Amino acid sequence: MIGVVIATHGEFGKTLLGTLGMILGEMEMVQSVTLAPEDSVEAFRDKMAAAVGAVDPQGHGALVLVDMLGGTPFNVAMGMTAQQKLQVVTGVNLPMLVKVASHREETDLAALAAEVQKATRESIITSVELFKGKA
Amino acid sequence: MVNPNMDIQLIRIDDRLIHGQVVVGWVKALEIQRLVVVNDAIAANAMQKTLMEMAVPAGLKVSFHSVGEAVDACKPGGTGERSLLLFSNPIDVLAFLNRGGAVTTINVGGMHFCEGKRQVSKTVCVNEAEILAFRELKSRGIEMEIRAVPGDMREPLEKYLLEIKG
Repeated sequence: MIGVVIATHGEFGKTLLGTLGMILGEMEMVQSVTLAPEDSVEAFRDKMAAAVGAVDPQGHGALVLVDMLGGTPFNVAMGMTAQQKLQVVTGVNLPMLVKVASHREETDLAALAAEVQKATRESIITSVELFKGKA
Repeated sequence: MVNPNMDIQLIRIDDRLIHGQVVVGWVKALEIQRLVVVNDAIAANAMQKTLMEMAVPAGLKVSFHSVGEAVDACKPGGTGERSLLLFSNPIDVLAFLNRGGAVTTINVGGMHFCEGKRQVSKTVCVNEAEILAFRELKSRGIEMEIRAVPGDMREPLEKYLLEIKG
């Protein structure tokens, strides 16, 4: 099972995890990391390192889901890829977590990141599309 | 490579440098075309530069300069790219100014690293050297405001950093 870290500005990730729990129950080997407005990059990096260490103690590789490209959670996660086995996916949302939670048997980190990206992209649907099929 | 004259829209001190508030907030509000990171350590670090380039959305340009090079690279000219200069601390801004860099106002976005420093506002911590730099900048007539994102209220730095009050 690949460990997962969700890292976001504020408690977005923590709340998302809570919501996931309502749907699928508790997810194992997952931690959320919150960037508080007053956090320095160093303080946040420490939180991230602790979270990655907790979900991936053996260093086999962890999946880091962040809110958006270019934010401090993204920047810090990407900075960690030099020293740790990590793959980062941006745009974390509920369908992404559902996909990860139902795919824990995947052991190839790069493949998991790609599958999660594809599934999340396909999860965004509009009523326009849906009604088109029913004309 | 020397950039053509820039239309410098903002000079910002932010120890998180390129991040959400900058990329989403300021870039959109000021229609920024280029982010310019002025920082000796980063300009000398290929890996850091690569990571920062990855953090910037397509269509937004980014360049990196040491404080020394930045003066020549960042000549203001009004008709060039709308640019946002990012510094991590006021000491570098003062050095830039002393070497002939153009500075009229400074946006203090965040100085979050607090260990061994004094916290003067929610997002600004300063040490002695930084206080001195701010005081010197103030004495040169440079206006400084604390404002994390465009929608926040402008707060003059001297409201929180009484040492620099006139």
